[in-house]
Amino acid sequence: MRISDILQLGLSNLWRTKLRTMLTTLGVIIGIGALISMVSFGTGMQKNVTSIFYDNDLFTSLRVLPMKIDINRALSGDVGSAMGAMKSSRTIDDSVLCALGNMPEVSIVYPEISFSVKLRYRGQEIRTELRALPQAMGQYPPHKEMGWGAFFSSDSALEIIVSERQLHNLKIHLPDGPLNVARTDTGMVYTILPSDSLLGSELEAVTLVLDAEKIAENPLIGMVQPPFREQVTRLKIRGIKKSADGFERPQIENTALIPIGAEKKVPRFEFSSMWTLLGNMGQKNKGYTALYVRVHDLRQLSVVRKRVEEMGFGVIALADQLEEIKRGFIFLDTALGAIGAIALIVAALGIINTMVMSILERTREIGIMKAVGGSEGQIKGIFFIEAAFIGVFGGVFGVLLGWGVTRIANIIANMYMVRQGATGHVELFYLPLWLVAGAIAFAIAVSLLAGLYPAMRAARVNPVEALRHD
Amino acid sequence: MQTFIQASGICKEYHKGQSGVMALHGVSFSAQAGEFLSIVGRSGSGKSTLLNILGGLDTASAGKIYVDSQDLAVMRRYQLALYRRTMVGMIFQSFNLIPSCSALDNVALPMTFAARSKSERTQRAKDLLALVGLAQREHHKPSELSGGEAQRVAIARALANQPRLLLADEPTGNLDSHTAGEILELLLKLNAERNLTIVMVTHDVVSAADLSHRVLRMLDGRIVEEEEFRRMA
Repeated sequence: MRISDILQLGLSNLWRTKLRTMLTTLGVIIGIGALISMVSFGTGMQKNVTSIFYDNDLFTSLRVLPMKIDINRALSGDVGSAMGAMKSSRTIDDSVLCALGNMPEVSIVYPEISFSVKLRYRGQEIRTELRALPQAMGQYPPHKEMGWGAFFSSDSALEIIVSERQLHNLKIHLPDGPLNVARTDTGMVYTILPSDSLLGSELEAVTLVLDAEKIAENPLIGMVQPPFREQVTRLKIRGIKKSADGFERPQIENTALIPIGAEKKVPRFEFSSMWTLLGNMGQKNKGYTALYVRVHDLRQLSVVRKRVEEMGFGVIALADQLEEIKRGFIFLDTALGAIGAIALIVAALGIINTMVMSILERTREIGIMKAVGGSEGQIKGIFFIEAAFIGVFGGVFGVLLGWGVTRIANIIANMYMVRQGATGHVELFYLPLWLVAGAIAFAIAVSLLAGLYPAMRAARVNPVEALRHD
Repeated sequence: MQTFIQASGICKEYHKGQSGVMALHGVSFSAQAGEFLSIVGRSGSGKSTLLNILGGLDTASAGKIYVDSQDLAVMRRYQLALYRRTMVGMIFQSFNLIPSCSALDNVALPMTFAARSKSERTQRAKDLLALVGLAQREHHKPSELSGGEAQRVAIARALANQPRLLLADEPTGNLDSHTAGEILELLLKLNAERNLTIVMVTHDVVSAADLSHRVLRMLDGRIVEEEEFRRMA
């Protein structure tokens, strides 16, 4: 028997019982639709989470801390060991910085320095955090993209990169900035300035320093009034970061950046926290709070990490968390997939039911086919192909249904989020090609499995009895 | 003369619950190529069972049966299917056409199992329908055909893969006497012109004697009488 004949015969047999075929196929369509929408929700979540990691380029970097941290112990409330670890902390000084910088795997290493300042521009003031970064970081995300202007020209230039949000707080609007559109504060007077006139203009960073003269005049003055005075450093606006859309990144929006070399040119008395204040008094050289280490390639991370741990320092790498997150997602995907698979199993029972019914109805026909020379294999093939067709149609239309459902769900979810005040567009579902192909293959496999028993039963029909059958 | 069918000691036992029912008690007979052989007997005499075994639809419990020197008793199921497809054509009292298929498609069905091309099937099915005198009815469904026409379609189908043996199980049982005569005439013509060996099971002793070279009479699973009416040419 020719393959084309089997295919044609299978199709025409299905066509003869249109309604029943459609209802059975509908079962598979719904099963696959459920599977597709469930799993694409899981993969969509995973993609969103991991893309945050990738977009921010978090996999090729780690942080070096003065002490070894056992996160699990600390989280489980073992304060004693956490305190013990603190005592055994080592100082991160410039020699450590150099040692790490000389490793061939390391591309960038810099100490994490940040301090709080007041920014003053056109009479407006905001309090914000200043973070020092080397110029080399400009080639990596998230610093790679600059809304307006550019990253630092050198490590020592007196430059600053501010965010659109900070400008907004300084009552300045960029005519082409996204925040300009969402101007909601009523009664506030904003100055609208084009980015060209902002870039290159100077902004004042105001810090507090110990007033040596005041203390020299009267050592007891500190008891009466704070022995500080304001120090102003002029910084050129080099770049402006656009307000992030989609997932908000407050860390980036509320921090202004300065070159790592310029940090020393901003005099300040650090008392950002009680810890540092006490630390300053207790130790002559407190070292850095942490180092940022960046490697050339993801795979080199473990080498560097091992070296740092051998040196006795603690390491935090976000890549660790990602592994944990991925494990969680495998579990989530399996659970979601299982729900979809249940729907498909019900559909498979529908296929078995339909086909057993049609074999009962067609018993005489099977007897005739056998009498005129149809072999068991050929008859098996004829019934098997019917199940396969149900699987193919069910799979293809099921994927379309699942896709349609996720599109609608996504639109509704976005409408809801916009009403809740979110900006930007979120893609909740992700339908990769492997999922489409896998779902169709799964539909066919399940249908064939369901067709196995009916086909076998059809092949084993006794022709003598079948021909007597009415 | 060439012996075409050689059956010896065929037994058939049906199992119903604990007890077995013997349908055939050691049937032996032979037939020559081109012979028209009729088997007569009452219902339940085992004549249809014998025909089914001869057609490879059923298997004997014991005994040997050779058709064209092939031993049916040792054939596996797929070999029997091939035997049914190529060696024999069968017609039945109730015609056994597939109701959803046209006359043409019914005739083409055995050729589909034989993997003939679509154009070849259609051409040969048209030729066969013309041979049985139904050239104008090829697109009619079985329900739109009279009993005589339906049996002619069944005969055309039986001839599709050019078998050497035609088995007919009460072919005129559902037909009026006039139509029955026409069908029997057609069978006689095929036997004479194509040298087709025919084994026919029938109630109709008179017409069996008219047409056949030989008539076997069966009773309770045995052949009890054999009569020769005309000599093979």
